[in-house]
Amino acid sequence: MNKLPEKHFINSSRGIKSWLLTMDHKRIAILYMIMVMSAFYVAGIFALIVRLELAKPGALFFKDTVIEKQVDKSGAQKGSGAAGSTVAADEAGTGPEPAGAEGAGGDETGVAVPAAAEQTAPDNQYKPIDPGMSGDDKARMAKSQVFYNKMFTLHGVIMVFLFIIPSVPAILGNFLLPLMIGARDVAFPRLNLASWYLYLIGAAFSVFAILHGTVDTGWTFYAPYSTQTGGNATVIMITMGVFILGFSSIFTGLNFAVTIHKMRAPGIGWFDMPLFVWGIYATALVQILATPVIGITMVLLVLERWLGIGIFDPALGGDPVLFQHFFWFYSHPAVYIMILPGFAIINELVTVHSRRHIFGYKAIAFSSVAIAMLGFMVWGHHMFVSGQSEFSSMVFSFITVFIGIPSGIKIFNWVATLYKGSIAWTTPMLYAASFLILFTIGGLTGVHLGALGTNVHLHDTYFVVAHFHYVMVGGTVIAFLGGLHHWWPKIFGRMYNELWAKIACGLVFFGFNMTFFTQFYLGSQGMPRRYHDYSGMLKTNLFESLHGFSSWGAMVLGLGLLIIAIYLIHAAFKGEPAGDNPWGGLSLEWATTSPPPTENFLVDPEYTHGPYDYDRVLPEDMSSETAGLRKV
Amino acid sequence: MELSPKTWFMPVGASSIAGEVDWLFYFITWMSVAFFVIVTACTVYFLFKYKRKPGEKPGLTIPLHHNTVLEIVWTVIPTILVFFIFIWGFRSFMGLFVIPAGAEEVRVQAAQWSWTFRHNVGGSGNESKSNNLHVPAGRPIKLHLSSSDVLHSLFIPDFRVKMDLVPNRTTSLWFTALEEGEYDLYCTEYCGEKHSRMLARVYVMPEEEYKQWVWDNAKVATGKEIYDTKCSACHSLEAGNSEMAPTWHNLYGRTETLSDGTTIEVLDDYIWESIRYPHLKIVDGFEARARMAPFPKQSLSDEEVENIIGFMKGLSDYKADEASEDPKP
Ligand code: HEM
Ligand SMILES: [Cu+2]
Ligand SMILES: [Cu+2]
Repeated sequence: MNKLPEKHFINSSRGIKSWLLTMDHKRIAILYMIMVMSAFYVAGIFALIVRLELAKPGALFFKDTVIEKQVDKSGAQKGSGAAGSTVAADEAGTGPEPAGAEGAGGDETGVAVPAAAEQTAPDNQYKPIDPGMSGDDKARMAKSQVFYNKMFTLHGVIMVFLFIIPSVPAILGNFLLPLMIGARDVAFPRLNLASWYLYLIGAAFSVFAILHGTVDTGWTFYAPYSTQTGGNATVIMITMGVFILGFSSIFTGLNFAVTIHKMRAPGIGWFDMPLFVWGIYATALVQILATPVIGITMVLLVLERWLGIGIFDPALGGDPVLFQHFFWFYSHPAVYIMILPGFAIINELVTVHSRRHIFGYKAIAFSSVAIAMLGFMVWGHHMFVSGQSEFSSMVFSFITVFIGIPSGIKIFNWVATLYKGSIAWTTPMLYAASFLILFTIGGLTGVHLGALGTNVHLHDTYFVVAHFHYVMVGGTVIAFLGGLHHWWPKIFGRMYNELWAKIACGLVFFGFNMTFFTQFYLGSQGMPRRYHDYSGMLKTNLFESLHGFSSWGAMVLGLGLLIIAIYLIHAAFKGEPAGDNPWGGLSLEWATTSPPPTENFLVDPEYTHGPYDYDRVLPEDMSSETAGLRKV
Repeated sequence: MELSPKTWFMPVGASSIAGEVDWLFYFITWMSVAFFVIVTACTVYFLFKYKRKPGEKPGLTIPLHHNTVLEIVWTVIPTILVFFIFIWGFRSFMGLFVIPAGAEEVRVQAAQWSWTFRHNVGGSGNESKSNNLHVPAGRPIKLHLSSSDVLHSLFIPDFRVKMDLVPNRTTSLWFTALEEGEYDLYCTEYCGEKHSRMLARVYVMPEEEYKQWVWDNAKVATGKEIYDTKCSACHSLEAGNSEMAPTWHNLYGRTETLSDGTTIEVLDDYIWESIRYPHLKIVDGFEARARMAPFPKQSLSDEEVENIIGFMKGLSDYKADEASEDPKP
């Protein structure tokens, strides 16, 4: 019945060059989609590896690898000439590690010899570190630890910098923003393409670092560990990668802000735009204002490693806490770069699929901007136990607990939007409902972390891991998946299999909760994050059952995500033609063909009704000839 | 609010501040449960109640664009709640930082990847070192925290305390352990390869037992003590060699000429050798003197040798980072 339009942006020109040199925002969105989604799945595999390792206590990987016996370096050094003196280090149980010795070597003037930690009187009651291990086992353990640290670092770095930051803005934002405001393209199409190439270059740097060696700093790159570990080339490469990706993000943000200011079709005022656009606008502001800071920080880190300028390294008179300030001055606003676009999507899903006017348009629009601005003033809530002054902690905690309010208001508005709607149980609607449930948990547990007294206990435990995954996955990723399902028929003009889509949505929902709800309990019980192993603790048994369950959940979640990839790709090529407006949406992107033509609209779009006027405009009126669009 | 609330989500609260933290935790948790139930119940109810039947044609929906009263209510109530939570959180936080007078002090040194806890031994100037933390029950303990390499963080879940250890800075932390027993202590700031093995135990014991432990554990003699009993007969601490032996003043890092004409820099390696096998390398000018007796492991443990070296460093102007041939790899 439905047919694709004869000419549209996908088939308008052919050949690889027509894609790689395209200035069409829709094609650039697809280029981004290919790269960003690959990053997501790769980082997902790293996450599964991490979960696998944690399924049981002890080292799971490299158990049976035969490794050359490690040379007892510090022993050899101290024993030179003094044959027969075995070193206390072995008794204390710490394997002699070059890095440890190096770290200790910097500071040998004081009487409190740092290396003394290794020479402490052997404490016979309890030796937590590799008790009774043979040299071979120790070597295996070491290899497994290094591998694990690399895996969670890569997972975090890729998820944050290569996936979630560009995900919604660069894919859906790029595709939809001009359509929604009735523009032919973004303000600076060349800059748009340039941002994609920068993304590629940044990604290449990161891939190089991954293949070349060990980056095991965590995605936070805290100094002075990050100025000491691994090979120079590797860590410099990955920080340069982050630096370049930052510029890609700035380009995108700049482009969108200008587009929204300057390119709205005649008649579309600020409050006539879909709220998706408001969300992307708030995100763009944060991208432009915050990202330069991470750029500077990364450059300083590179200079520190390379030239030893001594900004962060205390051995050179620097201050490692300063690094944390710089880092979070970007990275807290960056969590709003990650979540605001998720909010943006939900506005569209809850309205279109319940055919209701959005509840509290202005409240939602302004709360996005409020979040974006307040987001710059709370970075210190990551540092309550870092040794920063108690006064700063108080101020940061005060602002932090209030930043939850605008997010809460949005949640209430969306729920109220469902009231007396005509709710279609489509896949996008199911994702929107999942979002409301999961993000609420993520947001509320943020209060536990924002309050000072409880933060001290929960900081750097699995509680934090659970909290930010509820926000990032339960919030942004779920919204993003909902958005992909909502606009897939617009982008490719074809529909996916709704049954598979619902099954996968269910698997993702349950798998996600299994994986991460468990971790709230783990963290409250004290399980620290970034731990390769939890054997030898008093609570090892408890942790084992919780971690085990969480790992099973991750497999279910992974299965769900795999199914989604399969049917969406299949649908893009072979799906049933979907029609121009399968959901009966009122915003302008539905007023053109699916897929849209290269010039977006065959006739000049004209604004005749608001994007949420489901109380005025009947779905019968919806077709590309009449909806929001009059022939000129 | 002394007692911990009945605990189901948090671990046992074994310190004096755990009670207040837990009350706050459970308050926020129950508040969260309430909000969560409201949001979820409304969402699910609306989903079922207003479900569009398959094949049904949707009509126009209600023109409800906003509702000022409702919006004020759902803005003001959470605002009051979070303000209250902020105050409460701040109070318990200050409880963590205002250290009671007369707290027993323990110095904590973190290094990749182990903990060292040092206690003073009753005014003797001696210290008692251990890889695990031993504390008396019922008395405030203050931990002086420092790190010798990268960031670490000291976390005792059952006490609800945590603090980062920052190189070249001291931070501190206090608690009063309420119940005797054994508790886990973790490093919670990622510090590299063996971060997850940077564990220790906290042993909370009765006052008397604690005193005894500190005393017994201090058996390893300090460098000064060893010097006084075993070395002072020949080695002096003042500038200028004595007749018998080279002085320890500025010895560490000094370049000595040996009897065979070669030179050597006095660093850990040479000192180890000179204690265990003194006859191997003799400083020029002392060949004719009485030989120093070797000290095998039985008479001077490895720890004690390290303590001597530490003591020597204290007597020397030598700075490790000025030397190009630092013996460490
Ligand atoms: C696909 C489902 C996912 C699973 C199963 C998963 C699992 C995990 C696990 C097991 C850890 C290690 C926790 C630790 O040791 O501290 C982790 C860390 C992390 N994850 Fe995920 N994750 C998923 C998705 C995501 C997404 C979408 C993001 C996007 C922001 C993300 C961001 C992070 C970050 C930033 C870290 C911290 C890495 C670090 O400590 O340096 N994850 N994740
Ligand atoms: Cu933050
Ligand atoms: Cu650590």
